[in-house]
Amino acid sequence: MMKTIKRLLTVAVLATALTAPAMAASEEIWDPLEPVNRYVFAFNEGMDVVFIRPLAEIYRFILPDFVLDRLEHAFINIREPLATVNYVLQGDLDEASDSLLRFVVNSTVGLAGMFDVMGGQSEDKLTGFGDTFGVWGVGSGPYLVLPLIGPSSLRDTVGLAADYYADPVGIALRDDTFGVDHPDTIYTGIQLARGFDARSRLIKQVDDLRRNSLDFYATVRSIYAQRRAAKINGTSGDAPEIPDYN
Amino acid sequence: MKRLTAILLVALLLPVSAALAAVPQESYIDKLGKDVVVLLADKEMAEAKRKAGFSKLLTQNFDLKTIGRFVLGRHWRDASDAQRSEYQKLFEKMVVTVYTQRFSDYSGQQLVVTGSVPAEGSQDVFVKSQIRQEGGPPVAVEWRVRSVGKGFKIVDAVVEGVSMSVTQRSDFDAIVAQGGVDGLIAELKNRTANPAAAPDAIAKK
Repeated sequence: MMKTIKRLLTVAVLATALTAPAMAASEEIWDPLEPVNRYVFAFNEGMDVVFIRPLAEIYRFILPDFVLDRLEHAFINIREPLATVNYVLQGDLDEASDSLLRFVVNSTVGLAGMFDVMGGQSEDKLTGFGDTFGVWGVGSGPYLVLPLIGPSSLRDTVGLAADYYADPVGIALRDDTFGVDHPDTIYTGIQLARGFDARSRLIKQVDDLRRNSLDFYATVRSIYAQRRAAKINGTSGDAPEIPDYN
Repeated sequence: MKRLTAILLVALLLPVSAALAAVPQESYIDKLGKDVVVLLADKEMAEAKRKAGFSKLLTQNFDLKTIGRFVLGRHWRDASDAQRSEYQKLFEKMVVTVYTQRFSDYSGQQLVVTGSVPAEGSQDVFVKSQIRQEGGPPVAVEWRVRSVGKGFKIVDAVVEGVSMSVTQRSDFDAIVAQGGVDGLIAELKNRTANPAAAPDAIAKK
């Protein structure tokens, strides 16, 4: 099973690398599946407006800020081991050791990561296989909208699958020595909770974009592509040229 | 002791003011940020006056003609003179409406200039800044500042790696693809005429 998945991953990544045109943030975004993507996007919007957003509002209303902060930290912390692995794969050993040290100290002294004792913990510092493939020079490939997960690309979807199977936290859960029942369910549950928590922190921003976009699908697609390019290329110094028309 | 404090203060402040003096674009953004905060934080001011003041700062400091043209992208060429001038008028109106509303729930955020880099292949300068807020991480914003005449104007704002001008262009491009430039003009008219009743699909609050 593991072997088949690995082989599939390799093929998918290679296929992306070979077919994806180089894409800068200023270029148009390659979206050959737009009709399907728009359909999934509309489904996600419906789910968000009817279920997820209202639940997120209740979640943020009920829980005190102190608890929300602890959860936010714990959700970042549980992602550190995956970041460590990927920083190594990206050849960034400084970030890899920082991330590892943060995980060890924060998971113990910081009570399961609820407190950032070590300092420097941040969502922006997390990295996964989507980033790693990007750093290796794999183009993003076609834009994809995944059910419930939202905006992605072929490269980032393969990255997500790789994250799922190669996350040390998941591997530890699945390991027989710990004897955890239903490890995959637990792991998926943690990831869903993490996603929900992240969504709940963006209520205002998403509302604003929804209200002020003429075509919300196109706006989200553009933001996704720009965010990914900025994350992988580092700075936004290569932002698009705004010509002088005078 | 007093003297020591004074020396320390000078030593602390010196690098900041020196850095600001070195790049005029940085002091420009720094001052603009302070002007906006003064305006928004004044609780005594009447709502209408504040809106007028904000709108003035916006139209004076953002090169909306350049941004508007960039945002229409390749469709600018296809547009007639009449369409262009109507579009520019509506675009300006939309920006003022959207940003006035965005800044209406100001809650103590401060803009801190952190440095600048020249924009590649142009005379523009990216002024790096952070918007600091309570109860949340700082937001990184880079302002693309252009020399216009004797002063400066902003031609783009890049928020956490996302260019507002590029995002707006993608948004408009999708509308033009569906209904042409006339479709975009109609949509802008609709939005600016009655922003509260904007048909925001399923996302009614």
